[in-house]
Amino acid sequence: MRDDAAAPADPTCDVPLTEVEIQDIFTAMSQSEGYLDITPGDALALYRLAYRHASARVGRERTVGTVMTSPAHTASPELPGPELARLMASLGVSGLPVLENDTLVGVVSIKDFLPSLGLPRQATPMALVAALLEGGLPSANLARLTTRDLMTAPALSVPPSCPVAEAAELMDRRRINRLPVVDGGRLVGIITRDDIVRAWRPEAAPE
Amino acid sequence: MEFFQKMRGAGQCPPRVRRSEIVSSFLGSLAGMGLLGLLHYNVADPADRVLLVGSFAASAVLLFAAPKSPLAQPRNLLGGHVLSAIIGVTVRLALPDMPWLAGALATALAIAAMHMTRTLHPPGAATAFIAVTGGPKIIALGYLYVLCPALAGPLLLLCVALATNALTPGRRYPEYWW
Repeated sequence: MRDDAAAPADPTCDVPLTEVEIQDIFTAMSQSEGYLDITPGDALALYRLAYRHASARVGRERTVGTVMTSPAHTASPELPGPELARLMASLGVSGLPVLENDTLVGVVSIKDFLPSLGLPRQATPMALVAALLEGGLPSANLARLTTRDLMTAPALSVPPSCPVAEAAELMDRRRINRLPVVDGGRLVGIITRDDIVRAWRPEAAPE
Repeated sequence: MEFFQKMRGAGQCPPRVRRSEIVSSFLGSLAGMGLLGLLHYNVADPADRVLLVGSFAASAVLLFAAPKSPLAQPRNLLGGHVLSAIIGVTVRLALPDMPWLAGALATALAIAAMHMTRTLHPPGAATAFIAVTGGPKIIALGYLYVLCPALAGPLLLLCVALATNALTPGRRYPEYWW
């Protein structure tokens, strides 16, 4: 069991709730009215177990639809590669769903550009910087490609009713950073790793 | 070596309660046991009945010093004493010639039965034990032991605990009835 796992913080005190230690339990027990027949260690163990259940429940119960970014920016499959790069740069995004006639046909992200620039798919942004320093990148290839050539297809997607925890699990397993949210065949938004991090902040918790 | 490791005791003793708690626990238990004592010596004893057995002092610890404990709730108090009394008398009648075994078996059966019925109340095991080892006066009661003292005593303690805990600021009793 890991106690140092990322946990939402209590907004009132800026201390992650899993940081509660036995001396805190002891102090709380001293303040409580009357005698509690539980040892501080058991109370702490119970607290941590309950906290883990609560985290799991909150993750299970929150749905993608409540935390996604909507509406999502999109790209057309006919868009030339360089145009797509400029579009993504101006939007400040690292990935876009690709729509053709209102139907999701793929997802494009930085990773999809890398092979056309002579870099491996899993290259990091720093590898890109390093390649630039060594005398630029072969971009002629990219100019001949369209979004359709670049994109990853078919795209994985989730419905708005999908629990956040499941979306997180899917992203982790497939090593992707975003998932288009599709409802009845129509793109209704996008959920990114950022959205999931935001969903875990306690002030974003559902009523 | 794990065998000895387990005996080290890695936990921590809970904090001392505040002084007002100690006073409340003292006064409550004095009132509860005082009432039982009065009735025992003035009413029950002259009629060859018993209202006071040692296990009630242990119940007083729970009712007046740890009223939030699940072990101290009415279900546990009444259920624990009555169930254990039935077991105690039964075991004594079944094993009249083996007092050493009867005492242990009454205790162990009472604990198991209280666990099973979610009425665990430590003094109950003493009530079962006393049914076996309590002497001629207790033995003469037969199954009457279940009603008095095993039901009557805790009922009186319960009434006192309800009153004193309700009169004490910051206390509330019971947490649940059944």
